[in-house]
Amino acid sequence: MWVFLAIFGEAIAPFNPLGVPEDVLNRLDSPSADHWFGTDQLGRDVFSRVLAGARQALTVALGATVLGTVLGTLVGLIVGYFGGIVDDIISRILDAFLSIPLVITGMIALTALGPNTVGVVIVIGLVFTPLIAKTVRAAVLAERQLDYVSAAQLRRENPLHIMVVEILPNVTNVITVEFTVRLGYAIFTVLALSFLGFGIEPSVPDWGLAIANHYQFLTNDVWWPVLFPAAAIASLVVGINLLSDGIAQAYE
Amino acid sequence: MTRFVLRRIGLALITLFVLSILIFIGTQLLPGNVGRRVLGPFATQEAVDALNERLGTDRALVVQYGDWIGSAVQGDLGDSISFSRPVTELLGRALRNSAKLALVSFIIVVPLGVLGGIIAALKRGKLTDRLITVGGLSATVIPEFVSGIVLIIVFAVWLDWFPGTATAPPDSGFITQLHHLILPAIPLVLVLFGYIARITRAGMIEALESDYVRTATLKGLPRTTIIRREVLRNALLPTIAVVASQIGYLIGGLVVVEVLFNYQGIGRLLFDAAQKADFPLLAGGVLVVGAAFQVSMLLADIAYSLLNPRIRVGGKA
Amino acid sequence: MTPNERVLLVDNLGIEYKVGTEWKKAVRDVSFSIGRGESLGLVGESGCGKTTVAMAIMHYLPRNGRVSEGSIRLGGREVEQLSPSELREMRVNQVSMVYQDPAKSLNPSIRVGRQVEDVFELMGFPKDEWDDRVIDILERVQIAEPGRVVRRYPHQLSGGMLQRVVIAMAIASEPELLVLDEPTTGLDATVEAEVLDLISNLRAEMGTSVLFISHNLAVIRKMCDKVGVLYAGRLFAEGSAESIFTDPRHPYTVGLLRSLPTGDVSRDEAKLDTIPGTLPPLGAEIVGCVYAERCPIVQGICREEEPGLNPLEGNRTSRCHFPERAPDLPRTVAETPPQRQASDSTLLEITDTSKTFEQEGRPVFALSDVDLSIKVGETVALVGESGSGKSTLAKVILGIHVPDEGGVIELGGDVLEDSVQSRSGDSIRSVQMVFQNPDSALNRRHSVRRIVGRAVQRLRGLGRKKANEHTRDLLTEVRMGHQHLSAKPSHLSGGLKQRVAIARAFAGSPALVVLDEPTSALDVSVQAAIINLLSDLQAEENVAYLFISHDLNVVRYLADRVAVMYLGRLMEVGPARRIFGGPHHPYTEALLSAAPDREEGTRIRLEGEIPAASDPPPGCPFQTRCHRKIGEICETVEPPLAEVESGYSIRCHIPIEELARLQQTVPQDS
Repeated sequence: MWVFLAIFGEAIAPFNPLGVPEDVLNRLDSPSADHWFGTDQLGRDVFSRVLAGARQALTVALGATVLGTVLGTLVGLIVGYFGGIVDDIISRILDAFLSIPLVITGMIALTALGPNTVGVVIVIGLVFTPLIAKTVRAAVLAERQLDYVSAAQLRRENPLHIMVVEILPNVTNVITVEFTVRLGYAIFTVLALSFLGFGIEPSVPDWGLAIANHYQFLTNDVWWPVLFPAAAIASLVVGINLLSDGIAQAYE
Repeated sequence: MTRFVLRRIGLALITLFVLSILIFIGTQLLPGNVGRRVLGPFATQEAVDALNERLGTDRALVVQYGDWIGSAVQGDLGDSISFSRPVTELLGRALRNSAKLALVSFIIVVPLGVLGGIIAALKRGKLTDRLITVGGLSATVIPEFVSGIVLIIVFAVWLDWFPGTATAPPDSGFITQLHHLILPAIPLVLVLFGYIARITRAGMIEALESDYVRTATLKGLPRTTIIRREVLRNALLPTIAVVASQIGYLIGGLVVVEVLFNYQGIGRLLFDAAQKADFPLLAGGVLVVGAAFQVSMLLADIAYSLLNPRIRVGGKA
Repeated sequence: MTPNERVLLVDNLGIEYKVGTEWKKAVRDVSFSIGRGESLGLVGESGCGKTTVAMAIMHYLPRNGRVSEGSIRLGGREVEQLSPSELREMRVNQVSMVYQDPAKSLNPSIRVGRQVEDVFELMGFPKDEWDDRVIDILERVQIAEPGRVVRRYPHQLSGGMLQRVVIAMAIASEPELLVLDEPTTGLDATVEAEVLDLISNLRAEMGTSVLFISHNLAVIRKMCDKVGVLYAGRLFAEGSAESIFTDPRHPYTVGLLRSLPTGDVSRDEAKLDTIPGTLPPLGAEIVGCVYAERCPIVQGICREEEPGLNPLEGNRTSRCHFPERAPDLPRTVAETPPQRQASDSTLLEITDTSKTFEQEGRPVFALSDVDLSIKVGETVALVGESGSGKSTLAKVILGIHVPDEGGVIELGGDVLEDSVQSRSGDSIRSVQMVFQNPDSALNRRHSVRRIVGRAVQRLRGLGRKKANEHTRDLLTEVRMGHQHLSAKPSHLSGGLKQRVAIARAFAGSPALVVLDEPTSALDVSVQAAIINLLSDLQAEENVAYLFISHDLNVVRYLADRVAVMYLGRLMEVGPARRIFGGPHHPYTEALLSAAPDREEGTRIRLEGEIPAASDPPPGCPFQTRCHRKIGEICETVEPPLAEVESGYSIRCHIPIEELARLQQTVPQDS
């Protein structure tokens, strides 16, 4: 049931038209046969922009999540395996990072960098790292207690071998679940940031930005340029989260 | 237990310390120097230098840091560049506002979430459970600005039940303020509900399936007593541990919600500061936010240790 | 209920579990009864269904289980048909249960006294009587200072103490039937003996009927009047304990009894007999007798028709077509033991080794001044209860823990480096370990080929191809088919997993293998096979073993020499026969008397609990509990480990002749 919903929710994603037709003449038209979702303030077709925004959101979010997962796993493995002082110090640093909400860190970093897609990817990726690292660390600590690790030490395996060959395969299920969950949050964050005005360049179609730009028109009953991107966001994120939940359940 | 508490406080302080260093490094990493950034690319070099000297940003980094931290500890975080007021004053007011909003959200979401989790666990596998779990999950992942906007559209524009801004007119009574705060609180509630409900549910299920509940049942205790006494105590422990960490998400959500609903809270303040590149305000704000987070974690840990006899009373006797 | 009516009557009981979408039969056609004051033991290996039956009686099957047929009548009433309030009333007044893990069975957040109080509240006593009744019942289970214990939380009490509390809760309501599910598994030997004694006494005082469930045959024999043997959810035999154990009439029972080391025979005299094959999967529908494929006396009819529970003379039953042939069951394993090479050269010499840990600022003296030597090809057993330091000693030898300054360990004459990181490749392959729990010891994501192959590569420095060849050889050595090479541990049974672990330890042709309770997690029939394997391997490879175990019978079977440890110190070291024959150290004496198969009346009760390793008593560490304490000298001066006879050392102030006289044993030849 979950998988079905997840796939259904993700159906929005596969539509990735490359072009964005512009039609400056009809500005802020309500939804009609020509333009299913109406047009926005620059006369662009909202529908196409919504679809294009999907690809935008996904690529950025995916990139960020992959980065975060790779780094987070690395840190988590090292900290979890070695423990001791390394753990104490690095955990403090991780905790410090975690004290600041994602959005705020993103805001600050992006202020400096200016609107920059790659920057968004890197920043969100880095911000995810501590979260993922903590989860991986917990899983690694649990594995560390088990005797096969001692057995490996009795063969004088070097730490790298133990971490990658012995422990890592046993924590991949945790990592996969984290990955899918973070993906949802990544999309969430990317859009929140662009809504607030930090992030991606304005010409590229992006849902958050679209909402931000058209927010002011709400009072004039012009709801469509806002509602549709919003609905799109909602369904995509829900879809991804159902997917990750389904995966988590499958592992149990 | 005192040892535990002391150790926790120590850890919190260390983390804050590390945080402050990180913040400071962060602000310094940004390209250009402060004076230039504030005055813009068209100001003369002399003006920039003068500003730098006035702000003290031309001294060695370590000195600047020491200065900053030193005054911070005494309650002085410098002056905001954009507002020309002491940072602490701005933060104080913003914090108070945000606190009100956060409080409203919390008061709504915690009982709701916990109750939801308990019911879901008791009716495990049935429709009620599914509804609560999936519903919570879906609600969690809808970004606040999305839900916020939908709410505004529906409740403020179409139905006109609630005001579209969170800021009540000055000198409003308690009820009016509350009225204004409910709509913005809802997106926050939505985000947190799913998580709290899920953790509570998991804790309940684990307790229900435990050996000691088996003992209690087989002793002949009635089910309601078992749930009330045996299960709740143990099931809520993980929930408490988790609730505090949610404050982080809450604060993140505050930023968006406050911007959306035009509310002068700390989220809004940080947003403005970031936009205007107002570093003293930004640095001070983030530090305070971090501190608030650490404090809430600390309180949660203390609450946890009070409730968990293993920590409260100690080892073998 | 009339005096003659049975307290518990189980008739044709069938229980099913839902696995996936199907209902599978876990228990079939089980019938037995318990009369007033009688005790019945249900015995069987893991998965036989004994706990399931107990849970069905208490009406507490998990969500996916149900009683599919038959009846359970408790005190004349049908359990399945009781209303919730009647059920509750039954649980309060008629039946009580004691569980396996007392620490988990009590609510960690509620004070112990309050949890006991519940029972009195449920029975309807007035509130002002509760306190006194609680103290009273705790005294009856022989808890010293009940006033203090009442205010404690479960995590503050030891396992033995907790189990007494659970027993107190159970008997407080003076039930007609007491159900005990492995109540002493996991407790130390001396504590177990005390708890069992307590149960016997209470039973005698109160006339309660008892249903005792255990996998431990000796315990069941000691505690029960009647016994039922369960296998794959079916009752194979039922009768008086005496008849079942001395004159078994079912091939399975015979097989079980034969695979237990009894202490009369050592590994140099005969091999243990085993039961070949494995348990059928849960709920498998089998035509004919379910034991047919493992039975040495199987005939054609066994595969076609399932035997009923046939009554035999002497008021007993057996589910077998040929019960009269059971006593002469042919052996599955030849009796001749493997020939071993005698050797006198010392392999491992441990001198003056100590290990102190730090826990929350206080030192924990895990090991103190240990001297021990192991000869080439011999088996030295390390015996002791929890906290004795035996696991720590093993880890120090292996290099996992670094010992304190001053101690020296020599392997084959060369000093062995403290930590495994600094040891030479040769030392590493020479000293390996087999862990207690095969589930944790094998990487569950690696295949058997990889687990053993990697060890071969590392320990012998071989390339992958050669290593693979060698791996196959190793599997053959541990009597494992090559078809398991690509399997992952989760697909293997406990016995097979342990064989893989053994193969891995032997990958580098070690000179010494440390085995930490290698058979404790295994079923009885599997244990025998593993013990035989270890015995064979030792003869073939001339490898020495340091064997850690709490099971004295296994030790008596396998060990050449025995070292008894208490609180990090050696109390007694010497040849196995000498240690078991006597005269013994008082602690050893108590340990031996705690074994369930000892006769009544020879039990030595030890006072108090094992002291904490962070706070050892002054003088002799055992003086706080020693029943032969001679006086002040024991409290002030720690006796040295003295070699009072050739090859035998003891740490006690009492001279050995005096001990011999006190214990009235004749010193055996060393």
